[in-house]
Amino acid sequence: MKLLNKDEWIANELKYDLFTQSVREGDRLPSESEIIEKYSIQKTTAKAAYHILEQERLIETGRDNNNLVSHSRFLNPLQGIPSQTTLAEQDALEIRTELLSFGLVETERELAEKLNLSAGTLSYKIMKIRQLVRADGQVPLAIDSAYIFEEQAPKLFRYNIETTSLLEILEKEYGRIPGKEEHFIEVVSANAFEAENLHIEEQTPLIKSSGITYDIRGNILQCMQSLINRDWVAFTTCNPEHRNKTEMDN
Amino acid sequence: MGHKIPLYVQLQDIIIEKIENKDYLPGEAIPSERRMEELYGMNRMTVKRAVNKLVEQGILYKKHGAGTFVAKNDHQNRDLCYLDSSGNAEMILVNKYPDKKLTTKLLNSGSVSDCRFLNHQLKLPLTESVWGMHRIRLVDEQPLCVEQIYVPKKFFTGIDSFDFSRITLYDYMDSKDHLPIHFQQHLIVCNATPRIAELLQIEDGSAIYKLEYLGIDSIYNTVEYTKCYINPAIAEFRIRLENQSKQIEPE
Repeated sequence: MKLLNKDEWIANELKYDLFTQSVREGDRLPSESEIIEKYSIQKTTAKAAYHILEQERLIETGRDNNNLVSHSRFLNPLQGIPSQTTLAEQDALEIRTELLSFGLVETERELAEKLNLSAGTLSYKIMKIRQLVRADGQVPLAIDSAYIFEEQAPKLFRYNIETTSLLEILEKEYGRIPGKEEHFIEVVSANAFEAENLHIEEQTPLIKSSGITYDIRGNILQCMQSLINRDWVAFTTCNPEHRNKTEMDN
Repeated sequence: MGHKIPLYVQLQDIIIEKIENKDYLPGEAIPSERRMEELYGMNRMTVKRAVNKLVEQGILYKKHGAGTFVAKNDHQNRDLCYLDSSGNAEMILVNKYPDKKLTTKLLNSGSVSDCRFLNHQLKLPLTESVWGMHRIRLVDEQPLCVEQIYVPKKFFTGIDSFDFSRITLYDYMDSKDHLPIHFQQHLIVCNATPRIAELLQIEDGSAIYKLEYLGIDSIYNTVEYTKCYINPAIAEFRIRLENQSKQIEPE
């Protein structure tokens, strides 16, 4: 029994063309009839092959049922701290961050329990939205919330949290240097607030990344939670010595 | 007073260090929980939590009635962990149900020729052959992920007649001196195709993780290309990052 089904094999062929030719978003791929003729396959096989590419989010169905190359993703690189802001500049992608809210709140119970805090501990909650700026408008990438204990960053309101990241402020103004970060990625369903701000439908899948940054002394620096648009973001790790641009950067 | 790294995490690090320093050897028992309470001055709950976390990661394992042991370095952990050993970032697949048994079932294996995409990923000319293995990992009979692994045949002569029920793939690759030690990983959330949905026993079109990675050996050959489709209800990813810009003196 062959390892790859015919439709999987065809999907791989199409992927090869996609990654080795200079295609751009919106380019039209060969039609079903064209690949039926080229590979001598049946209509169901051609449909199934394109379905694979669609489910892997590499193509979208456009007008007249054409198969079009999908947009490329924002790569969330996992290369240690500092975070992705630096890489976005390198990729020449424009990412805009807007402040949604900034306040002093009672730490949410779940988080307080996880960190063994007493009830009522105050923390600053900073909620921002990251947008990808494109020619045809802005695409919301993620809603990022950061929590920092009030006692650790007294008078945080003094600083411009809108234009500077929390980590930058903590380092510059409070002398706290980030050491280690740990977070978990899981798939959740978008609630009404998330759906509205990320421009997706309620109950559709969303990536949730929740974690903690520790400073170099091992103290908790901040807790974060991001709700990430799964169609626009990918996570990558890469050995810095081996950074050839591969298909996986797509 | 600062909010420090939780005690159980500190204990995990201590145990890992002892394993790396060969104070605790693979296949041998670590001190009992009671003994560790005394040794490290931590309470039973903390010790239990640290030990359970390391069992979850496959670094330790429990033998009923006999104690807790250091897992042998047979790369079994690697198969599930997707580690990048060089660098400041680590992404690991975490089983949400660590107490349940993890099994592997081979779906199919064989040579693949004339697949331009696979050859391209493995950086091979089209004339060279690729060998592939598809398998499914289960947690207590519930499908966790479907793995499609492809390797260049030229590094692994005789692989098509090898019996992988006895030796893990990475042990085999190690024996041929082509163990992947650097990984380039790419993770997205996409939708399950009918075939994958059926294998994972989930609804067609539902959201799944797709993790792709290249495995690169010590002399920078590309030795592995793997595509892994993972059921998000049973697994999540843990990511650890370290500050790469400063030399940090531990206090």
